[in-house]
Amino acid sequence: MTLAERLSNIFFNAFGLEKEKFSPALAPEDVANWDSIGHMNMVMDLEKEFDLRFEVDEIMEMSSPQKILDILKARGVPDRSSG
Amino acid sequence: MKIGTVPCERLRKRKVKAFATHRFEQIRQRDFARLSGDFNPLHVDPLFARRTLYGEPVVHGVHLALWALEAWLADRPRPAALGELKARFHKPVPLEIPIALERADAAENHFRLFTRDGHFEISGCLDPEPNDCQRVELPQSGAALTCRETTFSEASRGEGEIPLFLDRDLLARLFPAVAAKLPAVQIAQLLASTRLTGMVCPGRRSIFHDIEMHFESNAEPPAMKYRCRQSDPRFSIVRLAVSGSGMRGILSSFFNPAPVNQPSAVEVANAVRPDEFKGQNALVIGGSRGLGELTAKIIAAGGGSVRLTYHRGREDAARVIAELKALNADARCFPLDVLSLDRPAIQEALQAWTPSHLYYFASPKLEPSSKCLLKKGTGSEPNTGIPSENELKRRACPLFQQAPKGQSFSAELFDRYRLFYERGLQDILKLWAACGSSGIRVFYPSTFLLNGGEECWREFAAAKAEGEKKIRCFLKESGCGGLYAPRLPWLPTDRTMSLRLKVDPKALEVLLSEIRRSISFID
Repeated sequence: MTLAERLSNIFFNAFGLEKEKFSPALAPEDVANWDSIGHMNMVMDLEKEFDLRFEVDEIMEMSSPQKILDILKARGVPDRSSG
Repeated sequence: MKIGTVPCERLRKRKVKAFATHRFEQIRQRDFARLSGDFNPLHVDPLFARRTLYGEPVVHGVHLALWALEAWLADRPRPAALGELKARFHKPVPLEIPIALERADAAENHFRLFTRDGHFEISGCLDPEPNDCQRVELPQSGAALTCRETTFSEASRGEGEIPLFLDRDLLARLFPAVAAKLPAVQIAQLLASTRLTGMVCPGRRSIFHDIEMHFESNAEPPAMKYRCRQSDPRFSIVRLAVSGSGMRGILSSFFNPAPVNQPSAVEVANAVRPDEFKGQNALVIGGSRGLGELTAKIIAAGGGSVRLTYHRGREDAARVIAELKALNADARCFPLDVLSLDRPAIQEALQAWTPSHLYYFASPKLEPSSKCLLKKGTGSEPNTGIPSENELKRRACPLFQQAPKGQSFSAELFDRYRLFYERGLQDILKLWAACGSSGIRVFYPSTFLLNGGEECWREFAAAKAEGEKKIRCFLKESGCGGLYAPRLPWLPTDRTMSLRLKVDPKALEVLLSEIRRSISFID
């Protein structure tokens, strides 16, 4: 499973966002329930999924799936191709 | 079996009649508090709730869950037992506001329910045949609990046990279908979850967010054991592992910020010269708490005469007056609603006292205009506040609004701010102009956001800008006084702290400096 696919699963669980609507360019205003509490739940799901602990600055940077992916890659999380 | 989050986006957009609608009333709120044993003041005390994030009492999350289960079970012909239950409370439901429940399609014996405006979701499954172990004998009532005030670190070490009980008569009156169709012990466990989080751990400052419960056959005595399994100061979240009487689960709560106490009158007096405001008759609108309270103390400590107003905080106002009288200040308070002025009542309250200065601190609940993600706290250790309350949806309820998707500015939110920041003050000044008064010096606390603000606060900033302009204009045209409108940073108040805004902690220093500056500068 690619990183984006794993992230779309997390977005589904945290926000109820259907996977076909997931895209790296999404912003909080595009997603119902992506408020600060939803954001925290997402962050905790990310930490559990990837066995990481994020700093507050990283958490504040997570304003789109693309930025989350960038942070994960910067933290050394490998992106396995789907093929 | 994993219970997933309801895919709400698509379902919310369906234009179908709601599965159920309800309006939670005060009397029902108290009944539920009696049933559950959860008398957390956030739910039952308007004065306490006023100083919290929500500004008013909100419905218990478990009350919402039971209401949803009641609606769903009403049509089911046979009793059953819960196998699993998951509920997430995204945002609070105030009293007297109608909410609509929707039901998502689910497999037989599974349920998925959520409110149309995204307040909460509940899902789970039933076991069709309740087994004997779930028919546990329960006491009718339990010992009343005192709502505990814990610190975050105390809650993080929380561990113990609370007994289960169930007032079956009250349950049958409030939730007849739930009473008839679910095992009493499971209902008692659900009720115990809110009693535990609301009264014991975290207690008074708890905001219940998430329940996950799994039910099995077990003959344990009727009690709920709990232990903090995870806590995270970054988010001020506490997660309790709970178990007992055939149930195991996780209860998640956030920590509500504590109300902000302004410096005492004695502390203020140490910073103010005894006669520096002598001769000033200061009318402080909204002086029962926050910056209005602090201003009243500053003026009184400096020898000024103070009349402060309150809208709902009579006890707070009385407390402030008591502090001022201890300084031998001439100080009184009276009620005033800036949105509905009662001229005879104001005249009776003031009698022959005429204000020379007017300090205006009336304000609605602060609401950011768009979704603002986690903001850094004040830097004090550890974080004891919760993140910004910013899941706002466009609806009739004045507490929860959002700029419509695709639009950059909410006219509705802007108008609501303007009511307070412009019209309210203008109406008061018109009263003075009508009396032939002149020379009143108005202190109008504007905002630093006008010097380059954040997107989240555009409506707030715009309303302050309008207020500055319109009030200045009115005072000039009417000849009844002049304006000083300092653009203040966020200062520590209940409102700013509950939103975890980055505040300047030196409220006394900042405000005193501006009040001093206003004496010599009025345009």
